[in-house]
Amino acid sequence: MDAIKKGTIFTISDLENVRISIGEIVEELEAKEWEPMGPHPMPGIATLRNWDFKLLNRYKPFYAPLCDMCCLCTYGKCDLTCGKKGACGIKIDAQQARIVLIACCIGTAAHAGHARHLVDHLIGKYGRDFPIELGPSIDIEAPIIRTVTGIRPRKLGDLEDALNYVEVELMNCLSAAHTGQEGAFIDFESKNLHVSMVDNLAKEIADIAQIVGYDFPRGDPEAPLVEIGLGVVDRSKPVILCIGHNVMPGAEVVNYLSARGIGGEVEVCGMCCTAIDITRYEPRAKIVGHIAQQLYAVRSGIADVIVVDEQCVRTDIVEEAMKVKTRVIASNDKICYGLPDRTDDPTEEIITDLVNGAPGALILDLEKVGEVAVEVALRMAPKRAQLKALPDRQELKKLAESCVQCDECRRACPNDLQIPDAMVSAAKSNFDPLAKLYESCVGCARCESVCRAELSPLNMIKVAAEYEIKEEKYKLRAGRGPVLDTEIRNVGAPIVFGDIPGVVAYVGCPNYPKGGREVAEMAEEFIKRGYIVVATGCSAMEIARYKDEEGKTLYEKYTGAFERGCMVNIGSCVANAHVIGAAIKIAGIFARRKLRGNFEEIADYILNRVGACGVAWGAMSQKAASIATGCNRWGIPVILGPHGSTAYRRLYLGRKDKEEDWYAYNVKEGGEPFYFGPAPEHLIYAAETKEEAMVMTAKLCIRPSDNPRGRMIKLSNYIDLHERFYGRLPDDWHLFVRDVTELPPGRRKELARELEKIGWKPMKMPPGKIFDPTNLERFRNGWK
Amino acid sequence: MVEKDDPWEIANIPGPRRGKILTPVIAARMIKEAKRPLFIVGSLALETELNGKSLTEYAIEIAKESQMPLVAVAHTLKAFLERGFEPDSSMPLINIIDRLRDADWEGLKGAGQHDLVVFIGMLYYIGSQGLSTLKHFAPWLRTITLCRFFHPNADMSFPNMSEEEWANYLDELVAKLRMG
Repeated sequence: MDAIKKGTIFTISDLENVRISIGEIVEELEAKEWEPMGPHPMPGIATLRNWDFKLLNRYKPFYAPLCDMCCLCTYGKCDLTCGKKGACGIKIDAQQARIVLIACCIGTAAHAGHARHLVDHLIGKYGRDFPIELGPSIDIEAPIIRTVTGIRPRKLGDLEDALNYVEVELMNCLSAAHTGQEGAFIDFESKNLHVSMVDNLAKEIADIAQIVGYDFPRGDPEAPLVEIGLGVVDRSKPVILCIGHNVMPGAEVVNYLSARGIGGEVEVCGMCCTAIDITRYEPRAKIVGHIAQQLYAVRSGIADVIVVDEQCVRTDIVEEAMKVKTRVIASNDKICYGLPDRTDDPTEEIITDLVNGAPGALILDLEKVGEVAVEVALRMAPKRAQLKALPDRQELKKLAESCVQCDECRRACPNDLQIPDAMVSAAKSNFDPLAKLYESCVGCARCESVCRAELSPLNMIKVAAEYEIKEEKYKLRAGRGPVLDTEIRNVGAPIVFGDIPGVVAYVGCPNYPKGGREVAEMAEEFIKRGYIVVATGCSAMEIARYKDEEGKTLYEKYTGAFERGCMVNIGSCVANAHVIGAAIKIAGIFARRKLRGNFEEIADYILNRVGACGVAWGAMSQKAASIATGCNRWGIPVILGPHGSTAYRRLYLGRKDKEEDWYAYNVKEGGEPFYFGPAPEHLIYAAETKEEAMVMTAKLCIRPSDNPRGRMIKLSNYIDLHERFYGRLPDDWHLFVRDVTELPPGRRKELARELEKIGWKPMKMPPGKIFDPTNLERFRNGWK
Repeated sequence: MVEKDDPWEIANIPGPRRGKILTPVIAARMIKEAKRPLFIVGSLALETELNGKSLTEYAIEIAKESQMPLVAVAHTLKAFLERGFEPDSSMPLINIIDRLRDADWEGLKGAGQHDLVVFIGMLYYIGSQGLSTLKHFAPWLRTITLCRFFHPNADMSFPNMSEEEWANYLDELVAKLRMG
């Protein structure tokens, strides 16, 4: 039967033995009124393949195999070294792309699973017709959903429709990784880009759902400042520590406390993105830190109860919690930790068992989680008051004396930290070298897994850095959510023309090569240079962990509005969608491009015009892989830290020395492709040092559409940073000069002489000197 | 204790093919015999000192004695310029690896793709991945590392050793290169 149109009147007679099933009611008029449908609504796995190939032809996949073998089927292990094929015929390049596909699918599944949990829960609570309203300053409520699916979500049920699409695409992409399916690396990469675009969609669904369902800030530039740091927890109160990425159980803890009227008597705090999202729900909640500090926090014994939800929770959390008599409540069926399912047990019985020594419980009823967590914390806190979790300094010296200097801890450390040398000092009662390691420690504890003397270097570092940890008290602006349409109206033109030299987004995990301070330093450098600086997730937290001489964090020093020189916390991992969303909104609001089902045109717009660059300095997870790859499909380049080159195996690199790669069409000029220069030079790139990353960030904000003044500003930043860190002009700066008017005014003569020396010629200028680039052939003669 | 040819990072075991131990004598011979060698200096050159001598200075000596073109990667260029040495190129490690895997690249001097690449001062894990790329995708190229720790992804690598031993290895290499 055809779909029933809303408002249709129909009559059924003789109802006997008839079953009526009403599926979807099509709101035809409403669908028509907001925008005509573009060419690619709900694109399938190969719909945007041509776009992907355009990207991959310019930004060729670069593989750095982490493992030379394939171990995915029973033919294996297959040695793929140096051109050898596996039993199924696969080669090393395709195998790398395949592993990346699996990683991107895992990342997407994590976000989609999170979104599904939220949407189902909120629809169960409020119904499918619960409205999506993001306030008077946001008309384009869901730029990714609109652009990819063609759906304009007006109510929660619409999010479910978009989510159904996500799940189908995810399934198809993952199926391509099966033995004997996809075989060409280039097509694996197209699927990587596809599933990662789908990941962007899942994140947007999740964040919109929680914004409306939990009344989070709706793009509030003045979202409240919240407390963050290992030192902010008031240990005189019972403490509940929520870990993960899903706000729902934490929100129920807050709700239960509020219902009992004891909100001020229990500390509710969080780690990882759950922490960010709880503070979007209840600003009095506190953020302890991110995944790198998880063991430090758990082992310190601060928590009476740990509530885990999903993603980025240590898999040994129950074991670790037991050591310090902390009880664990698992609240999500994705991570059950072998705990008994107590969901249907009487609440008081669960509480009693936990207080009497049960290590934890799986409770899949969110309200029950809230009640049990609070009641157990209230009863456990007095029992745990005298708990001694870690050795003292006297013991530290003795422990250090037992170190056998085998170097295994150092070899196991992702950052090659000089733990053995610090042990020698500690054995002589000098604990400073150990304490100094704290800042660069990623908290993985691989050091203790290999220790022949059965020491815990991580615990010893924590004790040595006791003072620094207690002083960790900072302010972070709560995640504000989407960028306002009104803000886009103000910054759209300056971004596209280059007057605002770029939008830099610090995103991703805390697997930093030399500690997180580098992220804050990078962020402030670009703030001072007038870039728009935003952050999400662990990076947003990390940036808050450093104060200036006046004791202020970047969030206290700089505006939270999306404008030149800002420091914006967009929100948790899923809020990364709003960074891409802002770029899409520039196309939709400033350039009046149609978004609906129009991915290719919008991505082409962003690639050529929106000078945005992501920096995932400590990217670690599969989610980070899909987040970054998703940005790439939209034309947004991403810089990884050095660990990113190791673990992600694949980059997309441009070759500025190959002029033929940098041609596009200049709209209205028609005819032959036009050379626009190598911008942005790479799509996903790994830097070795902070300094290299900063120079590359400035360069990757350059876009073909920059007007002469905008290009001059961007070029000035690139040259200036390069001269500061490298000691002289970059050797490629001339590639970005199209005309001498783009040289920085104060140095025009000097730089013009340099150009003359190397035989530089002005770039052929398009008619009217208007740069109007597109990589899509169908627009070569005009925007249609 | 770590063996001489254990991967310095414990879990860095790439597969069946692994590099062999390199000595200063063999390194000097390989450099001399190569037609178009290339020398790549990583970011650890900025922060490593051996007996009061900067790794950057060692790199300069090796480059001068061998006449190998030197690529300063990451932001090491400044350290070379401050010592009055002009590297042949400054580019990100990722970019030079990307060019070395391209059979059609004409090399740093435009004289053809390189046949030997010599690394020093790389951050271990990023260096290891760069070597993995070259192992798989640049079969025409031999790779050797003069770093302090053993790299299984290189064709040949200095073994794991103490700083003192490393300094001795580098001194011996410079001496062998000087002998011609």
